[in-house]
Amino acid sequence: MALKLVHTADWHLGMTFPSFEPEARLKLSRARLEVIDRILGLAERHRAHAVLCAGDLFDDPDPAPEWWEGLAKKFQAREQGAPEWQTRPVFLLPGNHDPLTSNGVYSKTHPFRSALPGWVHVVDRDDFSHELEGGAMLYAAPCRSRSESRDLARALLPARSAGDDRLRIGMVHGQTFDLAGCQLNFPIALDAAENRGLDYLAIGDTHSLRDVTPNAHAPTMYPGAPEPTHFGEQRPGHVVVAYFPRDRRRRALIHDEPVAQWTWQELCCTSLEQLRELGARDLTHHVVRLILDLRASVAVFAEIERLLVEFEGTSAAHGKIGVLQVDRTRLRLATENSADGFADAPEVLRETAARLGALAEGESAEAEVAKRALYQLYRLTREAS
Amino acid sequence: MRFRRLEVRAYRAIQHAVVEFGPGLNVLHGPNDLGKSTLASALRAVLLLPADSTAHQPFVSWDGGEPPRVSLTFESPDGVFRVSKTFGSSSSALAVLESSRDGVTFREEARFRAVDRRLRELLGWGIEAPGGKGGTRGLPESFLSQVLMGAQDGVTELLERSLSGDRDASGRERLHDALQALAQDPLFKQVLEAAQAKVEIAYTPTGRKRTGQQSPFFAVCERINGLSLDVERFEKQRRESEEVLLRIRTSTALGSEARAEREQIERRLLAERAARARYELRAAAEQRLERASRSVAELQAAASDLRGLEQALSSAGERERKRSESLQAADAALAKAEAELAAAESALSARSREPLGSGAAARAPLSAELSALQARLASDRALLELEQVVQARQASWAIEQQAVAAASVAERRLSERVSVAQRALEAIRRLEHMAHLREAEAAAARADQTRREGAELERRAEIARQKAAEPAELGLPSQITAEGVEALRRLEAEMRLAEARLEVGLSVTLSAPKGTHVALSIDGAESAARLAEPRQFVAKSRIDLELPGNITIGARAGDASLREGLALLERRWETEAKPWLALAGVASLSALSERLERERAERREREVAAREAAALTTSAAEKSALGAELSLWQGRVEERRRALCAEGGAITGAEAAELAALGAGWESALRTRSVTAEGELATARQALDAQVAVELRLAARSASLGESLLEAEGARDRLLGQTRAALDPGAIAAPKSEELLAEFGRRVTDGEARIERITQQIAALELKEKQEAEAVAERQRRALSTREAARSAQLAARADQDGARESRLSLEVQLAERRRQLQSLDVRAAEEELSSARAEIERIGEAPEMTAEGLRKSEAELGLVEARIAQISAELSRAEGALGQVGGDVVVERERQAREALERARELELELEQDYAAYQLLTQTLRAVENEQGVHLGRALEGPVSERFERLTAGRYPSVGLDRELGLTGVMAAGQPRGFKDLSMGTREQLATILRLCVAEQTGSALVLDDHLAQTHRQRIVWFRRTLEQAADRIQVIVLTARPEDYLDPELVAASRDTVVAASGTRVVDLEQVIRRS
Repeated sequence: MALKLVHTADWHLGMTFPSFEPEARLKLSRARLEVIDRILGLAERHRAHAVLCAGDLFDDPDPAPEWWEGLAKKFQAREQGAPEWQTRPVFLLPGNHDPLTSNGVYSKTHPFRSALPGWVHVVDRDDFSHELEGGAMLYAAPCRSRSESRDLARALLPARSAGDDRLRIGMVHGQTFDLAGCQLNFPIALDAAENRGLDYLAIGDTHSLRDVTPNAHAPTMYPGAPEPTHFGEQRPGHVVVAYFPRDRRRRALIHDEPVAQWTWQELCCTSLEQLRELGARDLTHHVVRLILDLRASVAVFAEIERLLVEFEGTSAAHGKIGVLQVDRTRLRLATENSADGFADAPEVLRETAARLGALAEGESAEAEVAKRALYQLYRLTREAS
Repeated sequence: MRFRRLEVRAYRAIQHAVVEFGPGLNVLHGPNDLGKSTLASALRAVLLLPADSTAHQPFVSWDGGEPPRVSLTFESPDGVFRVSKTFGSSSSALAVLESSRDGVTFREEARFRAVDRRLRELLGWGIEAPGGKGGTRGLPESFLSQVLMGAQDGVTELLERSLSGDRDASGRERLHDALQALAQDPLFKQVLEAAQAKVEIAYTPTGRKRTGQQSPFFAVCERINGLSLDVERFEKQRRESEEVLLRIRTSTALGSEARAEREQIERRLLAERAARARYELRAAAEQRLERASRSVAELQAAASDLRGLEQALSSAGERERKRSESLQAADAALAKAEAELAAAESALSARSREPLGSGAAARAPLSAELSALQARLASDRALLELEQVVQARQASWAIEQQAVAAASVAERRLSERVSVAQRALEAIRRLEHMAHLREAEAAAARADQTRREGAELERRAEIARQKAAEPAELGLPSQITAEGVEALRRLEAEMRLAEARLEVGLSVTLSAPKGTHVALSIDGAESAARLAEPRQFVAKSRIDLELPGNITIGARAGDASLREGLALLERRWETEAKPWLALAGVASLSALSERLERERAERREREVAAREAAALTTSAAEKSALGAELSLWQGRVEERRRALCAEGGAITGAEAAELAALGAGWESALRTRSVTAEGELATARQALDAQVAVELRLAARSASLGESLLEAEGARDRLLGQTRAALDPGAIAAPKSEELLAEFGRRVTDGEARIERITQQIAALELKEKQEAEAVAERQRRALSTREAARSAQLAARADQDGARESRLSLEVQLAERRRQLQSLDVRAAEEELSSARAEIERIGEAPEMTAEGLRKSEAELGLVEARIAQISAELSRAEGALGQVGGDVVVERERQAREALERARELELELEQDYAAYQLLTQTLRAVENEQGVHLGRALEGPVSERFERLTAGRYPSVGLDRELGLTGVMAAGQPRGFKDLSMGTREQLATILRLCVAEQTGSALVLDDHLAQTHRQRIVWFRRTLEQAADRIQVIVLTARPEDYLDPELVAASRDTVVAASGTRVVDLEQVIRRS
């Protein structure tokens, strides 16, 4: 092989997950920094010649020190642990989430820059170029704002000049023309790689792994986010390893490697049995949005709540699911046979249950409150007895 | 509630009585008719009857005189109270209620009617407030007053009463509160408490949602507020993005439309210009063709005329020959008329002498010149038109050249503008570097200062640590605690109180032999005396005398129980307080308190010092950590200084002044400037790009016009060459275009004038010739006419001969002229010109008319479109410049995240609200159900009453039924329900006593039993004695009885001639000792 590259993007360090509880937010935010070790380790294992990081590495142009210091330390640790990094450059490209600004994290005066080892390069010029292994050339152009309608690949990357037979790699951040709303988000023409005479165009922005031009000679690749960022993303959690044959006429070989710690999954349970089955699965590294779509008696309801506590964990015991988000909007309490749950209870509790059961009929907000009250009565009665 | 002391004066048969009550069982005994029930009555009266009630009359002393007075001291949960009433009319009655915190010092709280109102509040027995319409007259009663203080004669009446007879709800409420806990199922209680705990977390006692930091809603509310603001902010940014996108899309669409329109106009203009040129060429060619055709036609006409003339001449020759023959034949016939004809011939000879045909001869050169001039004029006109085309194209080309020059100037200006913007941006960045340098220097200075402060803090922390580590000076034993000392202080206070109660006064008179030495201790004060005579020693509470011979006399004042209480307290003092005082090495509790306080103060000081040391250490560590940044900042200072030097040297004075002027807000100001400068740069660059594009287009158009000009000039030069060769080669040598145009204009004008003049000359000559010919003919006709008369035939013949000759001669002249004309015309050249013109027309093809006005209109249209495109491009540039400042996809993503989180938080809030509302509903429902079931107070009390009654009756009556209002419904006997009237009187009073006891126990009230078991057998009395003793552990029971042995051991009865307290705690009072009857 003439050249081996590790291509990654969209780390989104410092991303907050406001939909989650504070503890889960912390887990998911930290995972974004932890995955970098796996990415760099992968580059070591594959003996990659360079690592291309195609933008949106931070979630904000001026992230908190926790994130840029954390990233700088990861690089510093590699430098101390593996000297070959001196000859394996890493390229950090500002994206639309972390554009190159005069006072942002990538500005030359920011302490992040001074904390980076010499082999970590920030793409801070429109005409950035760097010679890679075997004379291959990397051309890259940074995002300088959050939004722009210019195709950076076509506008800034130089075209191949006549007689130039070197491998040419391009790196920009933006949305390819087949994506909706690309006009404002650094659009990238589908033929940009061919147009600029590139052998590979490393791009970032979309969080799903995707070869945008599978039939073209020069791949235009989205590696996706190495850790997912929300539910519904297609094939997140990878980095791309690109192998370039010595014969430049042959297309680069693309290999994707999973690196994510977390798998995000939406699950829908329509019965108690399905919910119980979840307990048997290893979901400790899953972020699960659990949709409960069932109608349950107070007893089943209580069992569901017990199982959810078991899944979620307590201060005394780890949960069976790494991060759990429960959607109870389709969970309904069946009250018609609620008296059965209080058969052994004293009269006053039976009467209370009967009255709450009567109030719980229907679908009104008051009925919903009465259903919950009925459930709480059941639970408290069981706990007390 | 407990009674402490009752004092009665002038109350019925009692003149005076004071009874002190113990906290538990009090047995007040005395013979019949002593006044036991009067005391009970006094108790009821002082608590329940208003002092001015007329119902007091039965209480008036049998002795008359002073009004009945009762004073009662009692404890209630609200404190210690003393109520004193003097019964009488409204003017003499007096009621005073006093309260006390310590039981010793009382403070007045109410007077008169307010006393009863307050008392009824305190008692809560269901007795309505005094006064008002329909109020009870006489001694007010209620179920509870009867239960707790029922009169001797109403013991069994109780069985017929219930709460339903109460006029005030306070009794029911009190019983409800008291019995509620008893009625509650433990499971129910746990559920209710758990639900209530949740409700209390979320709602205030008035049912409003809590909003403080401890509220379960607080966090989610705060979160929702924060997220709402985020959503609002991101939504605004997204809208701005969308607006910018819309502007860009609109500008792009408009730009595309305008460019398409421009291309269309340019194409049209090009076509129009080409059409115009072609049209002009074709018009010129057509003129050429017309002229050539005309020339050829003229030639053809001339040739035709020539042929006609030749034929006419031939005919004329033939006719002349025939006329000559006719004339010769007629000469003879005309001889006679010759004379006459001679005259005519002489005239004709005179005419013939004149230059016959001179007009035609004079016309011939003129006609030839006219033809030549017409040919030349056609050529000149063609040249003139071509020259006009050339000049028009030259003018267009010159305009284009000017436009190119102007575009070049504009490009230079825009280039300068870009340079200026770049320099401005660089200056701003340099200022930023300088400001960063200044900040780094300031930060380094701060870090240095922080490091020094850290050192100072560390020094202070060390001092504080040393102080915290100093050993305690006092060192009280650990078992001496503040709580313990406080308990001892209470013990001491109780002891003082007990001692004070014993201070009722004491006097001992000692008689001993004279000179007897007596050691004295009076109220604890020791002294000695030697007796000379009997001597009286007076003390408040205690006298101890020690006489020789180990004789000791001790006198103690006060009630035995009080003394015993004091002794108990003193023993406690000895066992509890003294060892601590010894341990602490102090003599008094106050000294111990003082030491303890000092030690606590020292401990607090040490703790404060330790905390201060910790805080200082933390601060010092923080400062040191901050100070450690010094080297980093110094490094940055150097780095920035080097960067700045590399960029152009040190800070100039102007730059420093500018930075100073910017002040603290330099960053935002420079950012604003930078954004402006970047915008300006981008705008200038885009304008420059647009200008370059315009210049390129102008250059292309100029080149195209140049080519078209060259083409026109070539055509002109070719025609000019032909013209020169044909006409006047030397006339115009290497003419300039303007000169050529002028020359040809002049030539055409001259030519046209000359043609006009010649045409006029020819016309004049022809007219003259005609007139002359007509005159000769007229004269000949007149001569012939004259000879007609003589020789008409000869004359006619001769006339014919003359006419024929004239005709022939005329034709010969015309023929000669025509021949000459034909010889002068270049037929071949005319035909070639005609062919050339036709060929050119064919080459040009169809050329619809295109006016210069139409062309100017299209050019103006193109100018407008160009201006619009420039305007749209500027708008697009501005929009794209703005695009960098808006959020784009990032904001859309953030807004989505914030919306999701907000939705989730709202779901959570709804869940929380519903959960806590559920707890609230649950609590309310539980209470409602409980209230409905729990107001059945009988169910709560049935258990304890039944249990006791069953035990009392050895299982005969296993259960007692009570209704909701505590009315007795019956008893179970032999498995059947029985009414209480089926019971014997003794059993009824026993059942009533059990019921009263149970109620008193549940309400924690004192119970007054006035000979309540008069009909009860001794065996059951024993049971009651034991039961009452047990109950007295919890409540105060006052038994008024004539049979003390029912409740006391005989020896205790015997001993109770004074007030005594039994070992069991039972207080026994012999009423005979305390009641002074009237």
